[in-house]
Order: sequence, then C-alpha cells, then structure tokens
Amino acid sequence: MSYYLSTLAVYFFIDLLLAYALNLQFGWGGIPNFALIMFQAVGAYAAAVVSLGPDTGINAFQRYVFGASWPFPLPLVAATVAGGLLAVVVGSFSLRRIRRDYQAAILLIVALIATGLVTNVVGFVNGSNGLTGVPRPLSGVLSGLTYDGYQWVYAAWCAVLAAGGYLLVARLGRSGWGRALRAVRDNEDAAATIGLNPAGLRMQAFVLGGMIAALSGGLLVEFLASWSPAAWGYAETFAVFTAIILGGVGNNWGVALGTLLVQVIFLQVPTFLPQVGYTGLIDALQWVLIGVLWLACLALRPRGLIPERRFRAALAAGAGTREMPASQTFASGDGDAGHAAREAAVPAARAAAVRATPAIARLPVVPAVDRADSVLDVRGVSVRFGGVQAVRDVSLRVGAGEVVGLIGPNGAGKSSLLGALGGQFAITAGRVLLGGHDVTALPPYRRARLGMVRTFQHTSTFEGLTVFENLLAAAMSARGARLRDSLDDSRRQAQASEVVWERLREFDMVPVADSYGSELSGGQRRLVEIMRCLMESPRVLLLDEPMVGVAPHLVRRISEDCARIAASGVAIVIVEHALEVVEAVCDRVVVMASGQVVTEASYAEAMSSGAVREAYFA
Amino acid sequence: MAELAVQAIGFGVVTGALIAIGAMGFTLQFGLTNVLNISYGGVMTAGAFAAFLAEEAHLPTAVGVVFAIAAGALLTWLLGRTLFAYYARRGAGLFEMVMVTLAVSLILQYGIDAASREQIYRFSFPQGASLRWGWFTVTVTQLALVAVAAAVFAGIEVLLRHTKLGKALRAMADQPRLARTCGIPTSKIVNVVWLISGALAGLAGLAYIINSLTISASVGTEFLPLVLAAAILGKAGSTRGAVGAALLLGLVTEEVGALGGAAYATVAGFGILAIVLATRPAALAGQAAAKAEITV
Repeated sequence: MSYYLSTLAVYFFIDLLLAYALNLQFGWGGIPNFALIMFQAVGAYAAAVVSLGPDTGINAFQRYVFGASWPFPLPLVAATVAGGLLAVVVGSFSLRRIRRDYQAAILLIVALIATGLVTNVVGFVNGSNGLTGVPRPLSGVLSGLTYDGYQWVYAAWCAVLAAGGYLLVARLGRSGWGRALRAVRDNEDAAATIGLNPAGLRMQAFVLGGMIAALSGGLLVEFLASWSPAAWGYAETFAVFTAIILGGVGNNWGVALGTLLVQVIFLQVPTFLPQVGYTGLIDALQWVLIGVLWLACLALRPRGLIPERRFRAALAAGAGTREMPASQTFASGDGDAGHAAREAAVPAARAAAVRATPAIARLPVVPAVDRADSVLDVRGVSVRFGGVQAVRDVSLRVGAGEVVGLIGPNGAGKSSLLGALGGQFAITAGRVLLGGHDVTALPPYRRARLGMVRTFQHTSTFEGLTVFENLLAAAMSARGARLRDSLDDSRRQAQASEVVWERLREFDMVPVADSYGSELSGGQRRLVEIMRCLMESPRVLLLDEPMVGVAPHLVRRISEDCARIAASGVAIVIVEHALEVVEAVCDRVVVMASGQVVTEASYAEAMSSGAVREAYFA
Repeated sequence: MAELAVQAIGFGVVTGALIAIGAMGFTLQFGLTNVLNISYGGVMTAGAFAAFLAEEAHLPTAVGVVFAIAAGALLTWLLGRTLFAYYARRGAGLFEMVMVTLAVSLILQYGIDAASREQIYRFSFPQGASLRWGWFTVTVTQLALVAVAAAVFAGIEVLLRHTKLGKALRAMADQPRLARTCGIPTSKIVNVVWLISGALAGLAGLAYIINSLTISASVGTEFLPLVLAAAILGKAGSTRGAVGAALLLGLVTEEVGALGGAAYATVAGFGILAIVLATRPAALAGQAAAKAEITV
C-alpha cells in the first residue's frame, strides 16, 4: 500500500511539473503545444543516455549514443538543457505568425514524426524497445534505505522540484513579463503596437516550458529506470491538456487540482485495479473517457473548476494604494460592485481627475524648434496586396502637436496606409521616417518603442486582462517586460502602477480599473485603447476610426482628449468617417481616393474645394 | 542505385495517390467549414475497419469498398451535424474546434483500439498481376488506386467548376455570410461537404490498408500527419494544391526511403513541411489574415 501511495505521489509531482510547463506555454502564452510530450521525452532520453554507461557495441542488448555515467544531478541538468534546445529548434518554425489551429496541427505533426523517427532509428536510443537499466540516482548514498523508504525519498525530491516549479511559474505569472505574455496571447497586433515583441515573448515561454517539461522527463526516467516510445504516445499530451482545462487554464491551483483528478485519480489509480478483459482494455477505455471528459469540460466549464483569477489592482498596487481617492473602494468592476456604487464613484473620480490634470504636462513637451519640423515623414509609400495596389505613392508630413485627419471613401486606402505606418502591412515602395529615423523595415514593436503607436478599427483591448493591466502592460512594455528582470520586479511594477493610476484619474476611468474589456461599453474600450497608447509617451499616435460604436457623449470626450494629447506635443493621424469629429479635432485633412492623396488642406478649404465630393462620388 | 531511384518514382506516385485521396477530402471540408478536423484520422480507421469486417464476413470485395465509403460518410456527417455544430453554436473559435475534433479523435481511435483488442490483423485484397515496364514495377491494384485518385480529383474538379452546387460551394467557402443572404441553401451544402469528405476519408483508409495489407487501430494516426501536411502545404480548400502537395510528399518519402533507409522516409516528408513553413511564412500568413469563420 505504501508502495502504491509513494508511486502515486511521484507521478503526481512529475505530472504537476509537466502541467506547469504547459500552463506557461498554453495558459499564458496561448501556444497550443500539441507536442508537449515530446519535450518530456527528450528530457527522459537525455537523462538516460548521460547516466547509462558507454554503449559497449553492437552485441549489447541495447544501443544508444553518448553513454557517460554522469552522477546525480547532472542527468537532470542535461535533460533541462536538451528540452531548451529542442524548443528553440521546434519554436523557430512553428511559432510563426500563423493561425492557431494550423499551429496546433503542425506541432501535432512534429510530435508524431518524432515518435516515428525515434522508433525507426535503432542506433540512436534503441528504437521501439527503448532504453532500460537507467541507474537510480544516489542509490549508493541512500543504500541504507529500504526500497519503500527510497520511494518516499524520491517522492519528496519530486515534491521539492514541483514546489520550485510552482514558485517559478507563479512569480513569472505575476511579473511584467507574464502580463506581457498574456497580452500577446489575447491580441498579438495590439501587443506589438505597445512595444511588446510577440515572437520573442512566445519563444521565451516556449523554451522555458520546454525546459520544465524536459526536467519532468528526466525525473520520470530516473524513477522508472526505463523509457521507450510507448511511454510518450501523442495522447499523453492530451491528458495534460485535459488536466489543465478541467482544473482551470492560467490558474496554478486549478492546474494542480486538474492534475490530481486526471493524471492520478483517473489515469493511475485504475492501473492498480484487478485485470478486466484482455491486457490493455482498461488503458484504451481510459483514453476514450479522456476524450469524453474533454468534450464535457469544453461544454460545461470551459474556464475550468478554478478559473484564471482577476487581477485586483487596488490590492496589488502596494504603495500606490495609500494615495488612492475614496472612489477606489468601488473600483472593482465586478457585478457585485453594483451600478449605484459605480455611479456614486464617478464624481469622486472626476474630482481626482481635476486634481491630476497637470499629469498630462508630464508628456514630453517638444521644443518649439522641433514643432516646425515634421516628426512623421512619409515619402512615396506604396502598399500592394497581391494584384491590388491599396496605397499608391503617398507622401505626408506631420509635425509634433499637429492633428491630421485622413478621409476618403471606403477602399480609398486609409487603413492600409495606417497599417503601412504602424508596420502591420509591408511597404512595397517608399520610406517612412520617424523623427529622422528610417523605420520602413522595422517590425511594429520596434516602431512602437521609437514612439509610433496606433489603435485598430476593431476592438483590441486584451480580453483576459483588466483595464488596469491593459495599461500596466503598456507602461512596462519596453524595459519592464524582460524575462531576466521578471523574478524581482515588484518595485518596477509599483512605479508603473502609479503612472497607471495617474492616467486613470486623468481620464476618469478609475471606477473601471478592475473591469475586463468585455464589461465595458464600446466607447470606454476605445478610451482604454487610446490610454494604452499614451502610456509610453508616444511621438506619433495613429487612430483608426476611433469613434465607431462610441456613444455621442463619449465622442465629445474622446475628441477633447485628442486635442489635449496633441497639445502636449504628440502628432496624431486620425482616420475617421464622422466629419464633425474631423472638423472639431483636425488642423489639416488629407483626402484619399483609390490609394492616392487627392488633396491636402484645412478642413474648411477641403470641403469648399469640392475635392472631397469628387473623391466620394468619382 | 539508379534503378532504385526510378522504381521509387513509381512507388512515390502510388503513395502520393493514397495521400491525395485523403487530402482532397480533408481540404474540401476544411476550406468550407474552417474546422481543422483531426478526427478525420479516426474516420479513416473506421472506414478501413468497415471494409475489414466485410472481408471477415466473406462478403464480396465490392461490398467492402461500399462499406468503407458509407461508414466514413455517415460517421463524418453525424459528427459534423451533431457534435461540431453544437460546439460551433456555443461560439467555439478555430482552436476550440481543433480541441473538439481531437477529443473525438481520441474517442474513435481508442474505441476502435479497445474493440479490436489492440491487435494487428492481416487484410487480404486481390493485388492483381505485377506489371513491369522498364525499371518500374507496379501491381494492377496499385495502378487502380492511382486511377481512383485521378478519378476523384476529376470528379471534384467537375463538381466545383461546372455544377451549380460547386458554384454555391465556392461562394460559401469565400464568404459564408454573403452566401447565406444570397439565398444559397448553406445547410444543404454543408451536409454535402461532410458526406463527400467523409466518403473520401473512408476510401482513403481502405486504400491505405489495401496498400499495406495490415490493419490496426493506428491506421489513422499513421496516415493523418501526411494527409494534414499535404492539405496545409497545398493551401486550405484547394484540391489542386492538395493533390500537388500529396504527389510531392509521396515522391520525396519514397525516394528517401529507397536511397536513405525507410526510417527517414516520413521524416523527409515532414522536412518539406518544415522548410516551407520556415521559408514561405507569407503563404500561411495570408491565410491567417483572412478572417476565418466556422461554418457547420
């Protein structure tokens, strides 16, 4: 009995490590790693071949490479390194900007090929028979223990590593890096426009997860003493997925609960049951039930038994909270906060905003000399999609503090031009200069870091992040989101939080700080998107139809905000169909039609010249 | 060496034809519904087992073929209309649908595994005479498989380009909402696509075991990666692309198998996929940019 329990404990902690690896990659990074088990396998093989003695030749009962008799704990180190290397290789071609369902299929294919390769190439790690006789770590030192005692010591060792895995993943999840990763998961384009590097962040999560998964493989092989392709069938990956989906994606305690339920109680306990039917019947039926369980989870509790927790800014802000206005107590966007409470909170927040208005002065005020110069200089830019010339030889200069309206009929190329400036679309000819720097070839996140940010036509708040976190992610994007700083960034987070609170007060948004984007009105979402753009003191702000779906009173507010932002020296380019907004906000309008600039003048001149009419009715 | 290489061309075309049958059914369904249907592998296994059961019951070969096709078509249609439609109605996204089809795939594969007692069975099918033509050697049955693949391809081409149904189908794959408002009976067309795709899955499963002469529950998992790879390489929804990619995969796997050893055959096939993904991401990014909508 004690033997069964200790075995179950070992399995639980090893599976928990593997589940944390997947939670990091899938729960926070959004990477559908259908090849997860391959990473556990590579760790197991790596640990096995470095701890086994040298292969004695063709007559030995098993054939493998390397063979080094490394002592504990070097095999585990080797496993971890192997997992990281494999992740770099696989990630380099599978993490590209492709649809997530494609990505999942490609990773699944990779896992199936890996099984095929290892099974068929016998000389590598002994093919389908696998490796056996892997020495148990420290069995010499611990020789005084009974077999049972050794099992419990090993379970404790696994528990220590699982706890370490938990602490690491929990810390990472709370860090600026973890938030950036979740922002990328929710909306890659929007994440890039606040200066986050989606490809880099995903790769880091993939490699880190790969290393943790491989470590779990190393632990497993040292316990089982053998490893073969049968131990890592592709279905094993889906047991881990079932566990974290049942428990709660993105929640470390949910993951632990799911692992206990699925991996231990559901998959391991039945192996101790008496034999029913032929060998393997129970095994096969278990996987059928895993499939059913998975379908049931997706239908009944898609967010799991313990869902991802909402971030409470008021609690987490630390130093920042003490200076909070009274309205902060109502800030939670939950249903329980109640409508009345929120209404009551608004005046207080507004008062706070009035007090905080000078905050805008903190945006860098551009010297007068610079204002004459153009901060954004577009020279002969063309964009082509297949056979369609969406933008044709457009030149445009925008000075600091200037607001330029881009108008024209549908299909005129306004959004395509904005995409070309923001970096979402490739420029086929021409150049874009930002404050004298040529940014034509830079990816969106680099442009954002140089000070060119944008909003999108479609809603682009990060859905899994609260309003506060949306802004915090932007406030910490360039330097705060680095992996190497993530283990100790509480001071940095507290500083950034203060800036976020200031911005929230300035825009009257304190009451919704802890709301998710889905709980806000269309106009409030727009405001969050614009605020998010302002967190890193941009030089150029590109707004794509900011007033679509916005209530009239908020249209006025957003217009006023735009004027205020421009007054602080930010150059704004705004695509908008509502001409009254253009009239109210823009210093100058650029009329586009069929991908070209038709005319460029003040609003009144453009309207009277008939160029607009021509453009719309040509 | 040269003889081996030339012979492998012949085998490559046969393997390519096998992959093409599956890939055409997969890509047709994927292009229209946007469901990346992993359970397709399980359906191939089910089709193969339907033919195997017919053979065990000593029914004529033709009945076995009909069984395989009918089993595939019915199973896919049922899954599509009940389970997938249920999750789509609940707002499952592209990736959630992959998870649903994967769960179905687990259920099918291990259900068949349990029912077949985890055994590998011999499957006998008349192979016909061996034909020699220079260095090429093929059996009559292998030639017939290639002919079937070609016939399926021609049939789908005619259906898509020269019938009213095909026109409606292409319209729907392009703009499902617009098609619906234009009065195209979308529900009927989705039915037709599930049926065709399922029939081809059953046929592909049968073709696979005719060529390998053994059958087990893992037919689908062995075969699906190649089918998926061909469909992804050939661009979702394009039967021509799927056939081209299938032939390429078939030729490369057989050539590498003949010259470099069987172990590396499949790996080389996927090497192509990896190279294409690494060097031509634009091909897939274009597909990512298009707003895909689940239609089931």
